[in-house]
Amino acid sequence: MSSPITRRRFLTAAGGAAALMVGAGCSSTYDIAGGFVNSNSGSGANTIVYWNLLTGGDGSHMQTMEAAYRHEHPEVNLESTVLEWGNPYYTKLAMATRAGSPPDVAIMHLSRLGQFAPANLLTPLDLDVLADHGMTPADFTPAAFVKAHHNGRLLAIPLDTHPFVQYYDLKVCRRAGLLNSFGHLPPITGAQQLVRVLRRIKATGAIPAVCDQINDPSTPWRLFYTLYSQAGGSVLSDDGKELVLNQPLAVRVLTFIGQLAREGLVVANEDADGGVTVFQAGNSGLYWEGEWNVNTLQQAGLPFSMQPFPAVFGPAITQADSHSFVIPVQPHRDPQKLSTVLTMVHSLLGQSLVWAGGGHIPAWLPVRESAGYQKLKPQSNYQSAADHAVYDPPAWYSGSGSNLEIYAGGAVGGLMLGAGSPESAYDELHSTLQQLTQERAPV
Amino acid sequence: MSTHAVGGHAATARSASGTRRSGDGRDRLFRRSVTGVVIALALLWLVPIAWALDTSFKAEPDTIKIPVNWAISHFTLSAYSTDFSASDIARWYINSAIVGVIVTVLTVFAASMAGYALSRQSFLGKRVLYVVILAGIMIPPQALMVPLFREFQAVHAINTYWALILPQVPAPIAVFIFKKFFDGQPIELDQAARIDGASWWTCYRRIALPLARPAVAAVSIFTFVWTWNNFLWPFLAATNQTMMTIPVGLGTVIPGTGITNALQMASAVLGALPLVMVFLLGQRQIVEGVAGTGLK
Amino acid sequence: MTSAALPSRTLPASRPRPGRLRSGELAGLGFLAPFLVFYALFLILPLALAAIMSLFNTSLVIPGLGRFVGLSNYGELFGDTFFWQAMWHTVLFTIVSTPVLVVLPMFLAIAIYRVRRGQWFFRLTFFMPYILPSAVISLIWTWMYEPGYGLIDGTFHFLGLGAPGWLSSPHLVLYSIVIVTIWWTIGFSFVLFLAGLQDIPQNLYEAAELDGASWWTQTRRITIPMLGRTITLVAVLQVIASLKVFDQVYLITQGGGGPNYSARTAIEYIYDQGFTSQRVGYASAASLVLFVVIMAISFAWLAVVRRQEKGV
Repeated sequence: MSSPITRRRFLTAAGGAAALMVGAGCSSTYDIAGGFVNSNSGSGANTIVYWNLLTGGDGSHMQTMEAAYRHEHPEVNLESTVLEWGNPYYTKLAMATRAGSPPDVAIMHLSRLGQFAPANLLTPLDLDVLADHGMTPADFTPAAFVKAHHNGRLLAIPLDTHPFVQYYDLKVCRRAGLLNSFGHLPPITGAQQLVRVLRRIKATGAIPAVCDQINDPSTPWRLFYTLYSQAGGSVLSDDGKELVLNQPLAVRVLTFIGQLAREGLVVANEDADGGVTVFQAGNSGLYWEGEWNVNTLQQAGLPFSMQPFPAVFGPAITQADSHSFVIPVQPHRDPQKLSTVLTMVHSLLGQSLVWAGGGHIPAWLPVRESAGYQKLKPQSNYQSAADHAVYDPPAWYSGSGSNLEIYAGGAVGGLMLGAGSPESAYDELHSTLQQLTQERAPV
Repeated sequence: MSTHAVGGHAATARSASGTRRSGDGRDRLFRRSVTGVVIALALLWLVPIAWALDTSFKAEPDTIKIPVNWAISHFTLSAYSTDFSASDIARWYINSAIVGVIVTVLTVFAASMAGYALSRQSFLGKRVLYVVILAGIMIPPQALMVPLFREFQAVHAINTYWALILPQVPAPIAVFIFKKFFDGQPIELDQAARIDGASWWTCYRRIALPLARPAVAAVSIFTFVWTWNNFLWPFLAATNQTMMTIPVGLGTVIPGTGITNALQMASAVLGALPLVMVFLLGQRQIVEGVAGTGLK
Repeated sequence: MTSAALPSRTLPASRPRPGRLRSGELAGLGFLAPFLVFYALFLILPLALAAIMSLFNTSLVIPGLGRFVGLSNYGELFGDTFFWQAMWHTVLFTIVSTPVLVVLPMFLAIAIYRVRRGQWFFRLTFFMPYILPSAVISLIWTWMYEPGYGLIDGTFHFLGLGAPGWLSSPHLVLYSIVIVTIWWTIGFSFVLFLAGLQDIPQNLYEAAELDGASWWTQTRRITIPMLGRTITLVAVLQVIASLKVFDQVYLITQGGGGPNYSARTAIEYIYDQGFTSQRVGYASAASLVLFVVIMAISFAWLAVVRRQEKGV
């Protein structure tokens, strides 16, 4: 039995610790009283609460941009929070908005608008107000700006477009005799040519193409969707309610992917980090992934370049998504706060060159068309992809990191390892997506 | 409670007959190897925590050295200081402390009164109510998350301490512990006081409660630990970073940039620290509490 | 405090007079009231709401109940392959983890119970993980399982073995989480067994000693049978806890349910439906179905225990 002395000591210690904490809490830094009264008036007039899901290299770049903004505007307290990427982020954002205490501004993938817009969680943006803060429609990549609308209302301000691209290792490609006199890889058109290129790389003993899929269903999805869209196929009807998979086209694409895998022309037995590591090691010819690994590869000192993903089955369309700024619906409208937020957004957009350094194509045309960006190599090599981007199909269960990507990517991923047949992959793709369309929409 | 000293078997192993059989030697070898296995398992069990501590004292680049090793080339506390500056962990500490203390106080208050009523007093529907209360133990808390969210949403109380505190107070297990405890106390004191005209409240406050210190201690520590560790409900109810508790903050917010292995281990250690302290101080109560609830 | 310490009083029979009964009744209900208010508001009411919502297409982010759909949520649940897949993962998780989490703590408790010195060390070591928050153990184990740099991979490479994808292989991830769960929760059952051991009468062992029984025979013939009730208790508590597993699965798979959802358990699926897909009505139906399953198991246990008690 514990002696009373020990217990008393414990209680005293606990009481002391609690008192200390409450004491610390009573200081204005921690505002305990505020925790009991939900002040639905939101954050203070000079505070901006900003949520994003940008980690890794993106996170560093965003923090650099935030620091520059803070330097410009010392009177504003910018509170930035980074949350886990994917579904958890969007769940939190939706619930916070619904609960009446959302952030003042948040990053959102444009492909996720289909989930947030119908639920009226986002503040529509007025073009005149935007113009007052230095932003007009002509300043943005047209494809992204159109995508930022829902039912005719503008709901987001695009920051970038990040497409699926092709990296290529200069040394390996030169050894395979693929580079032209400028030292660039000429654009590849058509399935035959792609297979030929891959075979030549393989003949030199290098890995032809790296394209990860372990624990990363978004990547196989992007590969499939890019090829399938090039072939002219659609996945969902425009209202997002019906599955309109074109079986012959889809099977054709899947057969191609399976063929690449079986012939050892694509190595997919890695997760996202593994994929970069393998390509970085310098013994692979091509690497298919989003463009965001450019800094990692540069820092590793690898001689490489980048270009839009090849036009294999048709015109050079690529899967892409865009980061954008959204303003969740606030419990009380505050034009003053909105103005502060828009000023911040404008400031961050102005620093798009920093952002582009991380690989993304700026949606802010004044920067994209600037000499500074054009000189940024290899990032500016694939800027055309932003104009030929195809976003994820429109549906409430779709978007970056969504169930659609997870299920579809899962169906394709196995094929990339050489397992299963195109037909079985198609069946799985069809049945899982079908089930998603049949779920009663909550919005 | 048994009365023999723990491990006293060793003394009686030298049996009364005095003769050593060959089986004894084998038996002792067997027991020694069992003990050996247990020691090995215990050391294995310590590894994750040891590894977490080890990593937390390294500089970040050292955490990704290959081959993986335990050696700390530059001992540093920078992960801990970064944790405090790069994340809101200090705020989460305060939230966890406030919620933990208030829930504990309210739970002990409500459950001890309920246990007392069920044990000492008689009233209509007592047995039915007791069964209803106990049935609550079987409700999977996850089933209640969304309706609870809606309830608090309706009164605009999401993201307040109320949302974090109130749903954690009704704990049928606590009522059960108190009732069983009061059942085991002699009823004479209460009855004597009642005959002398004391109100029920006085009986409860002056007689029953002081005697219930063991149960109060066990329930308090239990409740505090369980409240501190609760993840799902606070995860849903605290959508803002400033209202999160430690587990929610650790599981949601990504601190720092670049390589953050040491940072994450430091936050894990910090998140566990108060509980380890509570555990070391109140070990016996926790263990006895766990045992007591299960067996009866 | 034993009754010998109190001044004994001769008291009338315990049945109070009618007048007393009424005031006692009010007081009794009054004492019960605070708890009952919390209980009604935060346990009963949400449960009732969940039952109601299961009949509607309620959305997480749209106010109100949504469209009435009757029992079609339950109907959809029946044909929902993802739900049954999640249920299967839960069952698998339970089948794999329960035997270990019954036998291992029992073995440890029996072995440690006889240790004279340092028992506190073993108690601490095996019980301590149990008091850690799920977020902490998930962080620690995710780092342990980290490909390439984690301790487990490192150890495997050191031993010259290839390291499998602990958290990245669809075939392994569920078992990796089982390992974490065993490490994390063994303390609870361990302590229950320690308490159960204390209830075994000493003289049984003494008699066996005199007969020259070895430690193993004693354990097999006395200890384990006498632990019967504890074993049943531990087994049922483990099964119920496994059916409700969520925290560590969600945190270690970072909300993703594992590659190809290969580690998504029932509760995680319910969470996904309700909070990721925002289909609260549907999620309520699924959670009620799970609740019924858990209740059925609990009642079955009560029946078994009752019969055991009658037998003993």
